[in-house]
Amino acid sequence: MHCHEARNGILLRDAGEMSAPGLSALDAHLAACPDCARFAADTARLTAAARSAAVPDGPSPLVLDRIRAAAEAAAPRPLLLRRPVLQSLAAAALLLIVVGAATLWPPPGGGPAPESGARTERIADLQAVIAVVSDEQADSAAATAADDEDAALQGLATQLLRMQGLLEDEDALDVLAGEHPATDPQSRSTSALRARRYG
Amino acid sequence: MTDAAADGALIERYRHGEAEALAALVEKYRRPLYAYVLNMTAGREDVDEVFQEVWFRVIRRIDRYRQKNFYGWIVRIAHNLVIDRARRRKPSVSLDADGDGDRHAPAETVPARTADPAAESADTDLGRRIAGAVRALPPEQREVFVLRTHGGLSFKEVAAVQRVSINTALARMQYALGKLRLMLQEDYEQLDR
Repeated sequence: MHCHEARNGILLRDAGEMSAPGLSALDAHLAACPDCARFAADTARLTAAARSAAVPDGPSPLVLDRIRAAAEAAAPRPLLLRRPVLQSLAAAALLLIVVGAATLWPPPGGGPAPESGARTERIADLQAVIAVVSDEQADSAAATAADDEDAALQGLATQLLRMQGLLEDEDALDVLAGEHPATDPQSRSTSALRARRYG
Repeated sequence: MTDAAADGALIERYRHGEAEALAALVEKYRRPLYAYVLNMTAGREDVDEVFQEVWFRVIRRIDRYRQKNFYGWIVRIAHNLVIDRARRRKPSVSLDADGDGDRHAPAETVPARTADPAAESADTDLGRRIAGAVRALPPEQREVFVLRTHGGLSFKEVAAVQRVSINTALARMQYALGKLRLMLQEDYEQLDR
């Protein structure tokens, strides 16, 4: 090993970037070369002194405050605080309340409670409405937030259905899990819904 | 958890809206980054400004961060900022140029010992003399020395920051050490204490 190579080796060794065979060769060279051994000692002394030399703690507190303020202003907002998400949720909730009331409430005059199959149909209707609302809102929302919004809307729908007591229904659970091809909400269009509901 | 993993977790938290996660990164790298900027800029008032701008750029670009070494990434941002400012202020100062030669005469730039007792007491402070000697190095050599000693970057990482080969980074470190040895000759006995 030449001296130039050995001095590079000393620097690499101190940085933890030298392989085991390289270290053995370096040790052998240092044992035989007093100049390089002195270089190694000087390097250790200088770098240790520079590390321990007083370094100012950092910038003024005002600068740190400004950086924190910028970080806060630029930080992505949590899902529920995002404006498009809030708008989507509000629109979806309003629609669900209106449609839910129209479809699930017993007719005036106290008719019989809907059968399980009828409930399943109505849940599917609600899900179709949710899907339509989601599609409409997704256009205005940021693309990256779309999945989160869908999940939030589905969660809201589930909560509303639970409040209506429909989630105890096995058929209803199948529909929510997407295992009822005949009532697949994605396959229903808004016009079909309107036609069925309003004749 | 390794440093890289810990930094990655903080960045992820910030990307999900936790501003405190970025504040934690600022705090973690406050001293090494400040030491770097301080050594690479000319004036104190400029130091705070550059330090602040580095973090503003980090905040703007955090979504693009894909590397493993966060400190290496922010130093690269600081390096580019320092170059931009040096070009605007003093066209003769460049970190891009080959700085392995002896363009600066160390004896002219290191704070000299003085006969004035008050100044003497401040000037003989070893820390200040070391800091002065480091600042008297040519920018490229100074940068390698500071990134190794204060930033703890490997030579591979230093070479990536400077966009040079690892051998060039090693050569710059050797030049820097040789000059510091010369400049601090009179203080050498104290260095051992």
